[in-house]
Amino acid sequence: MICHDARELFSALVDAALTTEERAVLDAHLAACPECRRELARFRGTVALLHAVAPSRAPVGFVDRVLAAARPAPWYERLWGRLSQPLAWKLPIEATVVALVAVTAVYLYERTPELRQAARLEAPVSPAPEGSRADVPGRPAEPPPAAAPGPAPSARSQLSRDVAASPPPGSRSSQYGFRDAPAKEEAGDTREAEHRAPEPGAVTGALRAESPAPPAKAAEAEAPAAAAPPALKSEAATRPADATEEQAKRALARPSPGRLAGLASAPADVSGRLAVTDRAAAERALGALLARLGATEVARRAETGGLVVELVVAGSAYPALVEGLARIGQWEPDRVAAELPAQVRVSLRITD
Amino acid sequence: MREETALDERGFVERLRAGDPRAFEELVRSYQHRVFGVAARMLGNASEAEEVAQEVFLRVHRAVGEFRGEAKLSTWLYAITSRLCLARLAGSERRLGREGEEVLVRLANGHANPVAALERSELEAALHRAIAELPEDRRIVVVLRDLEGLSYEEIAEALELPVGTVRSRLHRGRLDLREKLERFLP
Repeated sequence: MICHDARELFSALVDAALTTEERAVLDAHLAACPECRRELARFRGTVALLHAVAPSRAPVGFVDRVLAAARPAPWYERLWGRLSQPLAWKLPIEATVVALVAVTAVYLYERTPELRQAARLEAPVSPAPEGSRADVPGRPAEPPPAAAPGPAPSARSQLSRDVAASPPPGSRSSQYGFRDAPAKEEAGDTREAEHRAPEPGAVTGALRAESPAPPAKAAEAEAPAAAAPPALKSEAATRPADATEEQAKRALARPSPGRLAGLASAPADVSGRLAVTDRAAAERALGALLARLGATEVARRAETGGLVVELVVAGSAYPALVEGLARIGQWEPDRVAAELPAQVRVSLRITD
Repeated sequence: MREETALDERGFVERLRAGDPRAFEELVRSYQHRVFGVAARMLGNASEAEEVAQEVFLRVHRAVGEFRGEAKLSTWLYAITSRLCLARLAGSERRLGREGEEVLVRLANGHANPVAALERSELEAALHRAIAELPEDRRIVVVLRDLEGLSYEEIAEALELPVGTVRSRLHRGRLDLREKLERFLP
């Protein structure tokens, strides 16, 4: 046995816990190893010191405190505990339930387009033009009365004549007070885009101009196509330098806000379904197409299974619109008027 | 080694299980110093030691119905005490400060001879410090064996360890103490 192994047995030796064989081997080593004998002596001295440590005593009154703690509570304390415990549980539970309901409501509102639209419809909106029956954007309305800004078909020829005779665009913009919405926002805003009614001042101004002689005034109001909303103006400014003459004509042919209000209430000249694989991308592409063609979105609403977008495009740009829609998705028109007007009202149902 | 208080343990356990309040009081009175002593040496703090010791007896009071009597009642008490002390020490850095040493020395009995008392006091302070500096797993084994007098088998049962592990940890703890108390050895 080596010294290391012998010293590993010291504790058991001191505690008389060695087997007979272990004791014999250890004794034989100790007899021959004075160093291990000295080490054993120190080891025994350490253990002796430990055994001589005075015992600890619990503090005075310890037993009384333990007995008091172990005693059952009086009946009134137990009753109070039963009564108050529900409160201790009830309040956190109720608070948690309220928080969960609030979070769920917000989550559902964000995820349900119908709810958001209903909330927007309930909010005060810009008043529709006087005499207009279109209270809700995008919904087909009764034919507007004669005083409405919607031009009668007979005024279309007057319109084209007056376009040539119209004053420069700049002089008209203040009269109508177009809204300052940028084209990009209109094209890409798939959530917020709704019927963009002209500002009350602009509508009133247009109507004032139109009321004495509706067709003429309507034509006059429609004339400054270049005085279109600054959104379209800015879009024109950002158009590439090689904008074609065709696009310029389309810009000039854009209806005025007053006219738009009337068109919004009119039934669509063309309606159909645009089946797409990626609705978000399709909406962006549609917005870009409308901007390029000078078309104007007049209404947007969510319906079961799809999104309905109603727009107005110049008749001359309608073929390009169809071509563009075919590039975005599968365009399936289900109604096309026999004779398309100068401003074609198109109702698109975008589906996945 | 200490002498255990003589109790008719089997009958005593039956009285405890029956909820006899006097039996519980006897239990507390008989074991208060041992339970408190283990807690004080493990935690190095008198107020914490009292807190743990009280909790030991309250747990016994609540759970005595589950005690089957296969082990000694004292082993069961030491097991609960060890478990609560080690749980408190887990994750916390504990070193016995001067205040703790003085507390533990005061807890011991006084001595008539002032010089001897001073010498004894210095030795005990060194002992308490040396014990407190042991790793917790070795400290509990040294306390149960050398201060409380439990056998290897009782320690193994209380700590739920193999006897060989108890023997090894005890030996390592004693070797550590031998180095720390060298100057007090002949």
